[in-house]
Amino acid sequence: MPVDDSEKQESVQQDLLDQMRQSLGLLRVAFDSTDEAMLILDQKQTIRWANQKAADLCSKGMTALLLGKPLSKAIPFYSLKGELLPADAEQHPCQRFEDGDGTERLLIANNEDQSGSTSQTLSLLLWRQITNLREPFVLLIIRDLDPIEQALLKQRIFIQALAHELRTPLAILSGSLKRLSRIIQHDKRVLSNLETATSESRRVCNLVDKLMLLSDLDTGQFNWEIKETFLSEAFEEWRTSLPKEKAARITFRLDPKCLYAKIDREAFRLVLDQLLDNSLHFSDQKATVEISASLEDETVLIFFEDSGPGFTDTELAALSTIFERFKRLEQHRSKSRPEGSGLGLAIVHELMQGMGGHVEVELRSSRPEQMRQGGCLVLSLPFSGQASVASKSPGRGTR
Amino acid sequence: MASEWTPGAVAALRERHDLPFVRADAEGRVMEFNPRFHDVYGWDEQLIGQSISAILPQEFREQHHSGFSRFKLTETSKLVNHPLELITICCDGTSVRSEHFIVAEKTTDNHWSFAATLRPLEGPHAC
Repeated sequence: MPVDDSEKQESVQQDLLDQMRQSLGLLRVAFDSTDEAMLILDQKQTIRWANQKAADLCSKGMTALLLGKPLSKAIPFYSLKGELLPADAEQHPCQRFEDGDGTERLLIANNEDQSGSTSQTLSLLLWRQITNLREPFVLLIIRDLDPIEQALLKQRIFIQALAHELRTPLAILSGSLKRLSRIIQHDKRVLSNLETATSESRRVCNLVDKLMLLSDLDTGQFNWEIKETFLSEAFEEWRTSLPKEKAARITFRLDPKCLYAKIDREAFRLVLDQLLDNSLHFSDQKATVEISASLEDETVLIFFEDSGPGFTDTELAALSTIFERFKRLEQHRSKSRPEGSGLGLAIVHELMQGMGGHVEVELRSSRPEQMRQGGCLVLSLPFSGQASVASKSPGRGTR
Repeated sequence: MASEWTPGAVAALRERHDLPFVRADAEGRVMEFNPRFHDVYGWDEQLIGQSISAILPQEFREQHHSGFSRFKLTETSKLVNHPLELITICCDGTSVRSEHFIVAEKTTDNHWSFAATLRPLEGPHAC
């Protein structure tokens, strides 16, 4: 009888093993059939598992040749500008995994084709942490961007290159106009024309700078460095960076409870710069600004209120589009001042999203009676507590 | 695509006395190896009946098991009939870079058999 039992047990184990082998084989067949390259990396970022698409992409179809290789050696990653990313580059996936799950758009070199040349494909990288096994792993998925997204990204890269190309000649033009106005002092008519040309070239420079910033944000070139920041310090740093006449127009009213938020200081400064420029531009440099902050449901709310023309509730449909590029409200147009770039609020919107927050207009009707003048924009940021900050080192930025 | 498997491929490899040779059955268990395999990698009779994954580095094993299981379902593989530079684990735990040439063959009783010659590319037996 014991012999029978032992045989029976062995048979059950064999059945279980066969069943598991079949399941494993089926899973492998499914993963090999996908159009996405999948790789599993261990703690040392060496490749432990790869599907067929990954092997087709970087090891001539042989999955075995990928195993045991460090990811940085197996797959060359390129920035969207086409520059090879060294393994220690901040944008390189190997440097990003420790921050948790994430995504990135990069160029990846395909295997050599029959002519021996390689091409680069715009790819979306997604990585997920696998933590509930004996050792931690990272699943990396590499997906070709769909044609529409590829075209859009190519267009944005083109705009970025164009903006860079325009910057130098514009700087030369501005400099030449300044020199000319110094030389020609006697002819008022020529001077007036030169002033107009200088003002317009400044406007175009400003537009190009904003386009460059937006394209950096669009193409993942903005160097995010998001960390827990003492908000009062960030506000003060921004205020001291302003010319005196601008700084004098701002007052702060900060709730001591919302001490810290996760921000990128440069992005935060740019957001405040854009909002202040907007307030001053549409009030013919006359507006005063009050910045207040409060904490609501683990969210830091920053109210940017000015005494400018504001937004009227009758234009709700138009209001919903003010964060789009090149959108200008009809009520804000004036013959007496040059037109704005139409990009300021779009930049604010993108920067806030990059910091995990958002921006919205607060309508007059929803504000207290005595505060229904001027405009109010509300910036929301994730609250990051207070006590944890002292012991935490700054983390790498994420998008 | 069973037609891709060459009849007699395992026997042909076995004849290569100058190279280490090892054969596994359809379950991936080591069934035989030649004296040269013992000389180069140090494995003895205790390897017989063990999983062939014993001679592969740890980081190859997940892929090996899933690839082996897939083969049983699809009977296709890109690894066979190609020289592949892989790491081989010796009996003492050291590793030797080797060129593996794997073949597969269906026996008359419809069972798969896998065999490989392993050319050591480094160390005292490099050839």
